[in-house]
Amino acid sequence: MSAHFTKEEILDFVCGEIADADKKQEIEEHIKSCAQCAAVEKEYRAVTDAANTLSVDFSEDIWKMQRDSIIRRLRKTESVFDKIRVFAAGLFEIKKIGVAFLLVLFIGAGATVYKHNKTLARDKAITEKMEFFENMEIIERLEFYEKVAEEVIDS
Amino acid sequence: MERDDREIIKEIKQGKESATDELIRKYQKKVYNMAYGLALDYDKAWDVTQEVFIKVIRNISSFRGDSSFWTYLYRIAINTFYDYKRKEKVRGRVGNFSDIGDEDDNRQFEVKDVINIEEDFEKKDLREKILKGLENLTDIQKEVFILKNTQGFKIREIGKILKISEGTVKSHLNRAMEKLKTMLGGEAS
Repeated sequence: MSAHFTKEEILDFVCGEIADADKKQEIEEHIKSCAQCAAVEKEYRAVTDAANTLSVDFSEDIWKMQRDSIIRRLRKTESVFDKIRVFAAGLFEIKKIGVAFLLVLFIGAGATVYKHNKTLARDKAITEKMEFFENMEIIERLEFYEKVAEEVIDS
Repeated sequence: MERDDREIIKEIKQGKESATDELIRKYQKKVYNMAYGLALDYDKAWDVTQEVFIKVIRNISSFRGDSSFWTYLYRIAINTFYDYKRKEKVRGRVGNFSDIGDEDDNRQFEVKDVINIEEDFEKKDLREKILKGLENLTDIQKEVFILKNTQGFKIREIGKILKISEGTVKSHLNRAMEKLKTMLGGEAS
């Protein structure tokens, strides 16, 4: 037979506080063969068994009655501050949705503006190119007429 | 299936009354039994339970979720019990003033008359003995004993609730068990 366990160890065993499975089994086995430790365990068990008799229960109707009473008292004592707090909490939720909506709106608007600016820049470049070609044409024509005029004068 | 405490609390913060009912239903029996173990009186346990939930729900916005909800709840339950005891002492000194009591709870019955108890003589005798034994424990010994033996908490969890070390919990539990063992006397033999 192994050495006796301390009262503290037996109490831990009775209270389910021994995590080590081997030690738990060791105490269990020891108690089976040791009258002294078994007596200590029995005394502690008697206390925990007696504690189990303290558990009180009611029918669901009674529990519900208590819940209703608590909620009634909470409603009665709800201060203006509480109402504002709940309202603010609700607003905060709405605010969160609002912020998300604004964010989407902002991103959408940003993308549209960017696209619009890009189109404007492209149009501007085309216009500039067209103006350049038109000017070139005018210059070429002027040079042509100048040449013709010079030829007429010469002849 | 029971919902997570945080989920229920979030809805209570948004003002959802059904969530309040759900949270109370989830912990009502445990809190009542805890209060009964401390007060050793059915009616007082009823009143304390009501006070606990009123305090918890009113101050739910201050619950940040840093610790688990049950730790927070049991701490409030213990504090509420001592507040109740203090008020009762004052009531005893100054007379029976209804403003200290629970005037909003218009229950028309004695709590002991509506308990679901089916017990034989032996069990009743055991209950009476343990109740008498609990009266002889100090407050902290009673708290530790009740949290361990009627609520089934681990020593580590009791330490968290009571904000004391595991060693201190063990020492109080040990003393409580020794006292009760002596009180119960012949039961084990």
